[in-house]
Amino acid sequence: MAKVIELLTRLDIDALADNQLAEGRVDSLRRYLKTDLGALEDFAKMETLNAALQVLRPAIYSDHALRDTVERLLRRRAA
Amino acid sequence: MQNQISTAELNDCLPALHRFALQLTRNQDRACDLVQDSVERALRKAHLFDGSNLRSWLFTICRRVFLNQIRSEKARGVAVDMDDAPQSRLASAQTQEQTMHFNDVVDAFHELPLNDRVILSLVVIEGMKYEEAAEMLDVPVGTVRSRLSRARNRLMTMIEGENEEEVGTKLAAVV
Repeated sequence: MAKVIELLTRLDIDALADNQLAEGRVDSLRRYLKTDLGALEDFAKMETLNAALQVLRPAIYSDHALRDTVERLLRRRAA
Repeated sequence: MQNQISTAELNDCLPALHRFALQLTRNQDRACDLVQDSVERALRKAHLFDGSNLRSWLFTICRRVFLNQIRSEKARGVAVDMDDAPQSRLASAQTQEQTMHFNDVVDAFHELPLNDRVILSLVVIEGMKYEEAAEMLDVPVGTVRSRLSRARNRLMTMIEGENEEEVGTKLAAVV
């Protein structure tokens, strides 16, 4: 019987850090991270970067071009 | 309406909150204290939680508590044993470095191309699902994920480049 090997990619690590990894893959990726320190470090970096960007939100949106673009997109979505 | 914070959801956030606190304080004991203070504050202020993203809300509280601690330490000085004095001085220098690195993250972010800043803002800051961002930008979901990955890599490279001569984990120094 063929053995099924699940492929985990860098985008999966990003998705886990974004809390957007498909539920069925979360456990397998978390198990994998325990075996690969490099991948675990990447995950920690991504998670920390996300946290930093979230707490720095006011400073990031001091960029008017960005804020205007994001606001326009959000308005268009709401309409 | 008063929002409830579920114990299970709070427990899920604790490992990430502890890592974040450790990166802020760079000290295991202080990180544990910071997590404790942050969770206490979160529970006291649970009525202010909008119910959307508990982890992000906890990180924000954690950062505020940390900054408040720094301010009060600066105001009154840190009481330490004589044996610990050199470490205390070092901790103070690290705090100044961390403040500087916050600016590095923002500066690096502002250097990114607008498309990178937009995708990072929509997903990471606004908390959108990849599918929502894809619909909004009228591109496939796979494109959102790959653009996001490239944007993060560019940002990380810029941040690490700014701090390349420094010792230790670059991103840990950032926050």
